[in-house]
Amino acid sequence: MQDSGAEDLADIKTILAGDVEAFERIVERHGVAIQRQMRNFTRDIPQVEELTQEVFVEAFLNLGKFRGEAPFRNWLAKIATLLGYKFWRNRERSGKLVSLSATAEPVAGDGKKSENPGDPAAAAALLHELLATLPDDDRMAMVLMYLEKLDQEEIAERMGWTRVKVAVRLYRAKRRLRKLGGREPWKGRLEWMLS
Amino acid sequence: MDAFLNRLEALARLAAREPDLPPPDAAGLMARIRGLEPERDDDFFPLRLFLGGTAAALALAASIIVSTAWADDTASVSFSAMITLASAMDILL
Repeated sequence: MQDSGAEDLADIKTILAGDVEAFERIVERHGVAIQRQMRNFTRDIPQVEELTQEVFVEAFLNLGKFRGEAPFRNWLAKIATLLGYKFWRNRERSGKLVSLSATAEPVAGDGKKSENPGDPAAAAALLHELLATLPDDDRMAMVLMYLEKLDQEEIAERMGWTRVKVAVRLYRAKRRLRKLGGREPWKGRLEWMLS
Repeated sequence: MDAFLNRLEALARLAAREPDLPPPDAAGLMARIRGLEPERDDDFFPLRLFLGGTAAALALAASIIVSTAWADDTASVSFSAMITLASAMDILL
């Protein structure tokens, strides 16, 4: 990712001085990355767009609290993670089951017929479908480690968790996925996708 | 690393090559942003601390006077103190 730190800081100063329009440059610089991040929380495109907007609105409202100690991109990514996590929790609390149709494109039968091996979009759909079988905290830890490529310390910092909690969540998630991935239809679908 | 985790990592690497969606609607977002104003909570924190502290001190003094004058028992003082603390927290947060 290109270093946009100086431009971000300059735009933030401009916005806080009263020129709100400078925020559009921030959206243009970070919009695609945040959208990519929000696709880790739902596969439903209108929901991804809505969540992306929420991240930027939240960032805008809290801009005065940005201290510039860490890159703005990291600050934004943290807001995105916490909003995505809240999105999962709210769905759960409102009594709705986390529908697989919202996390992955629908698949027919054992999935193989509608999934093209080696297709990145189908691989992403399968991966998110698999991760959606986990409890929220375990899923979050896996998303941050495998999709956002954070290490355990960075996950702990991002989520406000202890390192021990991160390690426990990852251990449980892997154990559960290993068990699930060894059984059909997951086993066959994974093999097919990576064939 | 075991075979399953290797497979999971391979799947994640493949998934990472998924094409991006079109950029978000910056104009629509800006329409939503205009009219909002960034919060500057921290700037007001010392003022809120001062107001909260003053309110708590006044309420505590009043509750001690009231409880010693009309209800001469410790439970009443404790209850008043709890109310005081709750009021101060309400102002602060």
